[in-house]
Amino acid sequence: MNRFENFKAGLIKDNPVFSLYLGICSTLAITTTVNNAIGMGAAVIMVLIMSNVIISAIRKIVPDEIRIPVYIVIIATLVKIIQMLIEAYAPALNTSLGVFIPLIVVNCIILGRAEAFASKHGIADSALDGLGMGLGYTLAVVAMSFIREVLATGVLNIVNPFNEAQVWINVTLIPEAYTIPLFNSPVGAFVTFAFLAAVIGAYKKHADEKAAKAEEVK
Amino acid sequence: MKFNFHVSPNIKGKQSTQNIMRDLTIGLLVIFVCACIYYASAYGMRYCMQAVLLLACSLITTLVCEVIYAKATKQPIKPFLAHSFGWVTSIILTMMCQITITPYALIIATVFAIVIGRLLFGGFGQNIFNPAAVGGAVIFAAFAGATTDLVTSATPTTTIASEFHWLPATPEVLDSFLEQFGGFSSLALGTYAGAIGETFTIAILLVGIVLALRHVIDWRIPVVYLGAIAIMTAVIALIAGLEPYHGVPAFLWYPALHLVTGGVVFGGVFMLTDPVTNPTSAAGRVLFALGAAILTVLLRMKANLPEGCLYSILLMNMFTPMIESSLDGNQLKIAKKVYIAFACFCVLALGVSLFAAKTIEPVTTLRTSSSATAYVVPEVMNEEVFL
Repeated sequence: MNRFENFKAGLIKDNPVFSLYLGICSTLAITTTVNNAIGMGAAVIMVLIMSNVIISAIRKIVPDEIRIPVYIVIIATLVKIIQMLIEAYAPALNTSLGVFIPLIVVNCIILGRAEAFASKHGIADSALDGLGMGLGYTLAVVAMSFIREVLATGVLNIVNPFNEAQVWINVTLIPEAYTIPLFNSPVGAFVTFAFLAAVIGAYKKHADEKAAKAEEVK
Repeated sequence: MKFNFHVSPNIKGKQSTQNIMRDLTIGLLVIFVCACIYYASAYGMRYCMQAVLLLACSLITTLVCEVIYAKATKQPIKPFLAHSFGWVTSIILTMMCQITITPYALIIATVFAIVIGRLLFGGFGQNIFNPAAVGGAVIFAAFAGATTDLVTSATPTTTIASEFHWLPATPEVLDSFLEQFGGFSSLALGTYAGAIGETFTIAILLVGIVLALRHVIDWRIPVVYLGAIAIMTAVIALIAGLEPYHGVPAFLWYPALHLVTGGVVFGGVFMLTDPVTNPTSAAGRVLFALGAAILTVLLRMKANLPEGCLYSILLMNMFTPMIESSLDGNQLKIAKKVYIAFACFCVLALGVSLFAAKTIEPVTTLRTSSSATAYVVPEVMNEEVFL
């Protein structure tokens, strides 16, 4: 049960982006389209699960003094593998994400989870934590990119990342004349981020108050 | 014997915030009526109605936003609205727009100005940025092309920025610019197509004098702001070697040109003087206005933007807390500090003028294409620049 709670926390309550404020640079930069966000989310999930598993497996061998360089080497290796895979199988995604795939190495979520969780817990727990945090990140970037893409272009467009000719969803939600191009620019990213973070904050506060009340009743 | 103890301040002025805001609103509406009369006489009733429609859109949006905010924060609606003065923001914002703007763009800009620029900071008196300037920046950034095809001529600021680099050097070049907008007198009176309220330089100055006499706005800010712009541009004219225009030496006509084009007078009188977002001490206000003038000239001459007034206001608003805290305390004791800061700003202003005059090529020959092209925001601005 505890394991499942850990997994669930990463989704909303301890959402890495909106609640722990980790890995925000890439969040702001890649959320211009839902496609990018899904691709980035998938890459982060994969790196996060694998790095958590490996780091958890070697946590008893690694000397404490040099653990950060060791973690970085592991993460960098994994990111390089993922980057090469994306380059080979989803070249369109690779061009649109560009430098932000290699930059997953320095994404605070991954090192943060390695430090805070994987180096202290077992392999299964760490894998589950990686999945939960990765899904939380994906959820955050997809929510942001959905808002930004729809407001800025009015069109929701999702294509198959492995074959860009295959369009899965392409619907016009807002007519061209009523779009707000501002949301395509950095300003829009910050505004969207702030509003979503505020909503999550309000939800957390509400949940805490409810929990406190339940405690009182007991 | 009886002692009365009151919490300071013990001397109260007769003016209340309500009175100040009422006077400001009347002043703004005078300019707006000028605009309506001009558009009605020059283009027909339809344009006048369009201006009124835009103002109505902005006002209603403000009202809706504030009612929702008051409901959400569980405040009584009527007192909240009466003490929020949202209408001043929406009138200023409407007057900063061109009449060609779509109502939709104005509504979105108003939402940004009221909700993000003002309410999220805690409402009237808490905002750090001038809310109208926030809305104006949104229009600049997002709706540069969102215009209906009512009046399609370019404004003087876009023309002078894109074709003449703000430096028409010879009388012929200046004439070719002025004839597009009906000469100096037309620019001063505001009888040309531009932002709805910003063009009426003389009317705005008159309203500003009345408001300053009634102590609604602080006279120091517009005087220092416009004076500094005039002096800096005069220095630029002298260094760049502009020629006299029909007997008027360059250091007189060039500052005048800067003052009558674009929104500096409107911004100086109505936006920089916003009591919420500028420093409280007199010395602080002088430094604030001087900084804004330097930024305005720098943005006008060297930046990719056609107009610098708006961004200079937003940037100086960020410096307000710094000015405020550094000039805190006994004003007589810190007088020396104020003089040093003032001298530093003056040197900076001179440096900016030198830099601008030395690095911009004055336009001495007429270009063949006389048609004014609308200013296009360069691609670079829209690119993601995060890492």
